[in-house]
Amino acid sequence: MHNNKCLKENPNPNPNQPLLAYHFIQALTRINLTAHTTTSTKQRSHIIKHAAYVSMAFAAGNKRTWTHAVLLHNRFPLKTRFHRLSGSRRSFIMSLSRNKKTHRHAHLLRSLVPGGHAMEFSSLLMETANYIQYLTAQVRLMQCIVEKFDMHV
Amino acid sequence: MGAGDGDSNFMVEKKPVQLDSGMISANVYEQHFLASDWDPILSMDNHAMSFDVSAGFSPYIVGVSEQMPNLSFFSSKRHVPSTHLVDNNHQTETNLKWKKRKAVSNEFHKKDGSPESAKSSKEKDEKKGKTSKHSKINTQNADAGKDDYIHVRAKRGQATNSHSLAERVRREKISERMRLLQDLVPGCNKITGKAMMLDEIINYVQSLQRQVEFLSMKLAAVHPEVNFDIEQILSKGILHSEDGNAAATLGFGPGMTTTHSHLHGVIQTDVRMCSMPNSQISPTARIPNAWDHELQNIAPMSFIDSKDLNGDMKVQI
Repeated sequence: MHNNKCLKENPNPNPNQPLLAYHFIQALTRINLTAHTTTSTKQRSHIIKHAAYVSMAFAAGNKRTWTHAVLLHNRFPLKTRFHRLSGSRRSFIMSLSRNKKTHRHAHLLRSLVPGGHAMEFSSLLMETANYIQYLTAQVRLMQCIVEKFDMHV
Repeated sequence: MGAGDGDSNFMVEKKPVQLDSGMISANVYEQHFLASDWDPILSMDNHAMSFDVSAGFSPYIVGVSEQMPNLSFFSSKRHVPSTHLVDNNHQTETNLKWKKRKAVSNEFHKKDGSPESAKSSKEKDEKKGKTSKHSKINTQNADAGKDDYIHVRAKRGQATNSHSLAERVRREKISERMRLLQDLVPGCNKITGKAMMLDEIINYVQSLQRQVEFLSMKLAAVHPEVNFDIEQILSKGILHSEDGNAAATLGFGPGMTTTHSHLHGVIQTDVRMCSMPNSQISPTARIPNAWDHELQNIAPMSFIDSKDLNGDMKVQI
């Protein structure tokens, strides 16, 4: 049965899963209302991806650095450079030791997690943990939606 | 707060100190320790502990060269009940290294704002039954700038430079968080070592992000054919599938469509009917206003009136 794929065991149950679902589905319906005739599939997929991240950040609340970064990036798409400036001194120092393996890892991780450039390593790890939790919840949610569509169609 | 800030003989850095019963008993422990094994004290650098002679009890003394005149002072403290020493005796023999790793977990838990967890981690090291929120003097560099300080003690046979102590605390904090991440990322139980763990974590985050992108593409392809009532069905279905009853809700779906006329209200009442606690609903009730603002950038057109929806409300299955 298709639904069973949705229900696989979640090792890290996210307490905010219904909230996430609510926000994301609301976003989806809005997108469907407003943009489904005028945009191509590729554009719409980009919009949906963006909506996924924003709803994820919204559900996570304002206490996390990465949610700040995502929502800020959403509101002012051009002002990402300000985030870099806040950690510029740190990034200058880090660029000196970029050849070390751990620093390469750290730099990669910082580029992956939104807002990661402005944090030191230990808080970066905390943010990554939280980010992974919400990402897995979001992925499960989207998989459920897609599977239900497949069943109907 | 008996902060002996004026006592500059024994102070390297002026930091606030909160002495409570936990520290006193630790002090007793240390007295016994001092008598039995002088080495750890000798091997330690002079780090800051403020000193309140007038209060009649002394905190930890970390410095070396200044300690000699104070031994007599310490010995006068033996009036503290020896039962406490007896309790810790077994630990003294086994734990001559006097490791204090609560620095890591203490600070970690401070970030979460829970003093009780700091207590549980401290008990491992000091075997004390009573701890409250401890703010001790920071033995690290002065650039920390926090209000609560973490007391760190050097291990036996390790470098006691203040820089290396700070480095060690930082490293332990990082390794603690890597262990946390290990639980989150599936399939990382066997891998040890920072580099490989970071590799795994980076791969996992990348794969998750790629999955989001792929699924959003799929959703975009499927999306225009499906109607809003399906969303409503889905919202019920998904929320119930989290509990494991997806099959029941799908048959439930078509019966719901006729009763709702407002899309916005649809989702909200729908969500309320699911098994969700109210505490999660009430913040979302006022969120839609902010949410509309957030989504302005995503869906460029404004929210269409519900009257337009009624005409489209057909279930296309």
